[in-house]
Formats: sequence, C-alpha cells, structure tokens
Amino acid sequence: MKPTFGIGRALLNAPATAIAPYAGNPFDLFGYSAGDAVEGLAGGEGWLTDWVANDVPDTRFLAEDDLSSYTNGTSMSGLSGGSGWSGGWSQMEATKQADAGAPTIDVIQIDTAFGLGAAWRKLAIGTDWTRIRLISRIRCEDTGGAIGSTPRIAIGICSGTTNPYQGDTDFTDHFVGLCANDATWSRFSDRYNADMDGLVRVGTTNTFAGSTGVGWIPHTGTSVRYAPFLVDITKGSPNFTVFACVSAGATSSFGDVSLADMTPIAANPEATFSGAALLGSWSMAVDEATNGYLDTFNIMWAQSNYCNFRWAWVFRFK
Amino acid sequence: MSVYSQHQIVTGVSATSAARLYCASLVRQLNKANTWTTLRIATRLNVQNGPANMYDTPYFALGLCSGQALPMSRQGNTDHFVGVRTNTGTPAEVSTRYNFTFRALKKVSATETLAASDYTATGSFHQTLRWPFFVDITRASPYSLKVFYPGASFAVDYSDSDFDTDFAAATPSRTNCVYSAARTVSVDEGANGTLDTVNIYWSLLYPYIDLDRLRVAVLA
Repeated sequence: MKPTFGIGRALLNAPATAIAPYAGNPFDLFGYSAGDAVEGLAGGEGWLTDWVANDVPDTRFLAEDDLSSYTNGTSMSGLSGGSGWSGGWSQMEATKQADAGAPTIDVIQIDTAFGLGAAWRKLAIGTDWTRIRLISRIRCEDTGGAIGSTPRIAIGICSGTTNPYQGDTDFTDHFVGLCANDATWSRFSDRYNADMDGLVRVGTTNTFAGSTGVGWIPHTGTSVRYAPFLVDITKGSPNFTVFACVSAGATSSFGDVSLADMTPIAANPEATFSGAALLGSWSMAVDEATNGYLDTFNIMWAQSNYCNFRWAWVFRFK
Repeated sequence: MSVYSQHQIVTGVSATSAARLYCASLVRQLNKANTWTTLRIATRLNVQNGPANMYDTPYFALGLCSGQALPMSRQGNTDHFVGVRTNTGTPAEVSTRYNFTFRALKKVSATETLAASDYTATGSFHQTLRWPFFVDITRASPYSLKVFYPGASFAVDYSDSDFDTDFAAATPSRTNCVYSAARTVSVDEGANGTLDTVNIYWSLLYPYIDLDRLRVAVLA
C-alpha cells in the first residue's frame, strides 16, 4: 500500500446500515504524485471515468494565452489560442519559441534587427473595462554589456490593431502602459536594470509620467528566470491611473517567478508579492475620444537582442 | 488554459497532498449512478491565505452534475447541477479563516434555482487547518440536501480518523460542527439530465483551494 497521496475515492454502493464497515477501509490511499495535473488521474474505485478538470474562468480573469498550443518557430500572426480574445495575434518580428534554456517554456520571442518589434491582440470585451491589468513575464538575451540608446520594452493597451506601439520610430494610434525610459540599461550578472515609467503615446509622441522606478529584466547569462511585467490601468476623467510591478529588490539574487508566485498578484487588486516591487502609480492624461479607444493587448521590444514574453494574461476589475 | 487543478502538497501538512483548485470544476462520473436514494459526498479542504476580502461572490460548490461536459460554473452554462454552494458576496478573512454562508441549489443551463434560504449556521474554510465539508443529497420530491461543516468555534485540524468517523455516521456529530437541517430544491433528472457525476467547483484563481479527501457513499 502506498502512503497517503491523492484525492480520494469510492462510491460505496451499500445501504445505510452498511456505512460503518467502510470506515476502516483505506479509501484515500492510492498513489497520485504531487505536481500531477488532476486531469486524467484514475485512482480509486467506484468511478466510471478518470478525473476531468474543467477550466472555468475566474470572474476577473478576462483573457489568457499560455502559448502552449503553438508550434515553435512560427510567426505569431494569426495564432489564436487561449481565450478571451477577439481574433488572433498580430506581430512585428515576433515568433512563438521555446526558451533556449528551458524547452518547456513557451514564449513570444521578439527579435528585431531594425528597431521595431511587437505583438498585439484585441480583447473580446473591447473597451468594456474600467480597470484592467495586463500581465506577462519577461527575460531577454544577454548582450554581455550595458545596453544604450534608450532601449524600450513596454506592456500596455493600445487602440485597435492597425497601429500599435512597435517602437519609437513608428506611428502609434494610441497606447497607454508601462515602458522602459532609461538612456542606458545597467548590466548585472543575472539581469539588466532599467528605469520604468508610465507612458501615453499618440502618433510619434511619447508622454511619460516622469517618475520612474527601477525594474529588473532577467537575461540569458544566468539560469532561466522570468520576471513579472505587469501594468494596471484605471480609467479616469481626464486622467488615467497607471501602476506597475516588476521584479526588483535589494539583492542581486532572485528566482524565477512561478505560476504559484504569479497568481496572487495577477488576481488580487491590492497585489504585492515577494521578489517584486510596485514601481509606481501615475496619473496621466488620456483622451480616448480623441485618440482612440483602448482595446488591444500590446507588448513591445525594439532592440536587436531578443526578448521573451511568457504568457499574456488580462484581468478586469470593473 | 494556463490555470487548472493540480495535485499539490498541502502547505503545512506533511505527507498529505491535495487537488489544488484554481478556477476549476472537477468532475468524475460514478459507475453506479442511479442506485441511490441518498448520496453523501464528503470532502476535506483548506484555502490559501489570500486577500483580506474575496470578491465577486466566490463559488465553492459541491454536488452532482449530469455528465462531464458542462459542469457547475459561476458564469458559464451548466448541463445540470444539484448541490450546495457558498453564498457570500465578499467573504472576509477573519483571523486565518474565511467565513461563508451556504445555499442549496440546482443549476440548469444558465439558470440557478436556489433553496428558500441559506443553511442557518455560518461556516468557514481555514487557511492552515483541513476542515470537512459534506453534502448529503436525497432523491425525493423535492430533493433534500443537508450539509456537514465546522461552525464558528471549530479550531482544530480535522484528522483522518475524524473524517473516517463522521463519514461513516448516518448523522455526523462532532463538537462545534454542524449537521444542518435539510433544504429543498425541485429537481427533474428526467428532463434535465441524470445526476451521475461528482462535481467540485471553485471559482477563483486567488486564493486557491486544496482538497485532500473525497469520498462518496450511498446512505440509502
């Protein structure tokens, strides 16, 4: 008999008077292993089928794509996995890949030679949100040194799918989110440090909130680590409130951000968690009526080394 | 989808593992679905240390559904579910527990039909202590549902032997636990589908619920 592992079993097909004899039976002693998905587990007796785990969206879990259904090396254009989206992905220099150091990790890899790179996907709810949270996790290629020329990485929401934020040299209809705004990213043994700021972009004009916090971007020069890259946007009139969270801390050592780490911060409107920091909260003027209504998830990376974006999650706090 | 039920070690409880539910509706079909008049579904669970207040009337539901295709869910369609669910809008964290009221119900397609009133006693899910939650369903006209769960003063881990004892009792009785009076719901299995599948549902991503025991018994 195996030790106590597993959710239990058994239909006791017996009349009421026969309940007691079952009390001594080892109903729950069968060998599921910790970490298994419950789906398909088949232990126990009295069942006609294996376990089936139906995913049911959280009331606030608006859209997701874990990228697992795509073939490595394919363009993100038109890929349409996940749920909560209107149509598939669009992209500029973005492909589905597996992380080079961890083949089971599915990512959107943006690798651009000419300074424009992005992936974007419209939300099924369109503009029906008051407060929205956009989430990914990031890890970029290690160049071996600092990165200059004001590198950009961004996550946010843009208006429509025609002109998202793909880089500073390209026209953007309307974008609101979090963006690196630092002339040079400092390199450390396990990451880059970059000042992050709230951004409203219309056309080719960036309007930053002007108050930055340091975000950590893990690189490939060390073990596989992904850091949260999160922006939370609340509609106001005339100002939107933007707050952001990325990995940051007092030491140079930090671990990968797991699903278990990520879910509390993803679903909790007052989220904080170990290993990450609230970068800032900014009040920024946004005019959707003039510049376009914000309805499309948008990630951007406009550098010659590549960046991996792991997951696309969107929560709505109405 | 990137969130689903996984089998995990229950935090703080050695040598015990559990189904960890993140926004998931777990189902498994019974092999003798129609040979009962009264069926008991017994679980033991605890909840993650989560936010100060949960949100959006989180559903923990335990009962039977018809088939495995469309089980209980808060927002989506359900083929046919009969059981008990939590019925508190924003359950507050009180010390290391979340307090809930419970309500018997059926759900057919998108329509919930609730029993006339909640079960009288407030119950709780604890963050570190594993506590029981049983549902007894009796086929009658209307269907009758009773629940067994800890009351406000319960403060100990519900051990394997506790589970064994109460599971085997036609009328579970334990200090500071409640075996409720029945609530009734009109059910038409002929029209809406035979209730042949155990269904455990939790509607939130955060906090999760760890469920480490599940048994089913025919009481009559």
